[in-house]
Amino acid sequence: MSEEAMQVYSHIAVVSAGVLFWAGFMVFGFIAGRYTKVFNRETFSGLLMTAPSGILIYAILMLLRSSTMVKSQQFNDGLQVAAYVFLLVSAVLCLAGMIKFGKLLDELLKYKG
Amino acid sequence: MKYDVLLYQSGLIVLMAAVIWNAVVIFKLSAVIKQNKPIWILPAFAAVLLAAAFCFHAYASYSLLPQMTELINRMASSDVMLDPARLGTLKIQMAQVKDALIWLKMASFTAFGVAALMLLMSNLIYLKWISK
Repeated sequence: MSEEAMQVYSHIAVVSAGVLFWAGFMVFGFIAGRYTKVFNRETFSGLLMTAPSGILIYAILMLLRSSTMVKSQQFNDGLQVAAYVFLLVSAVLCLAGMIKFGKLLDELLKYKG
Repeated sequence: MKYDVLLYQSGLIVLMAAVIWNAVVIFKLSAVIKQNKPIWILPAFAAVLLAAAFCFHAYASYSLLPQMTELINRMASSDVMLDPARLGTLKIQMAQVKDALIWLKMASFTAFGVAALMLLMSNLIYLKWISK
């Protein structure tokens, strides 16, 4: 595999991963949304569905960074830092949403038990 | 240490924690609907892949990149510039480090992508179960 092909593959992999992570957490948000109706309690589905947006922005910024449109190295570095910040913030929000939903679930299961 | 490396690695670790929580919650939710199929294994394995992606990235950042910087500095020194044999050896070493860096980058992003796919699959399967 040539060096160029490996670089292209890496760009495709990171952008696909970002989109897939976003979709994965969004689907979990839908699941939490369904349980809002079942439990008749707020399941933080709003937080769980908006939290992964940062991962999608990360994927878009990485795509922009790898494109040939951006020629300035300084701008590229800025894009990379912004992408990493979005990834980190989004991951923190996803974790917070997961923990909140997990605690609510424990509470409801204890009540049921 | 460049702060962007720390930002990305922190993001990976927090994402890994979120994926582990996803596995725990999916495990509990499967019990709620009395489904025995262990789909929680998918996000659990995704967390392992994210840990692998973190390790690849850390090895590249803390071991290979400083090695590359050292090779570049050695190449810039005048006694190496005037010695074609040493210059040739350094060029070969640099090419090897560069190859290793590209391979690690590929491996890290592949692990990141497969982890994402596994998380999506487990959540889609669960959504399908409760949508019946």
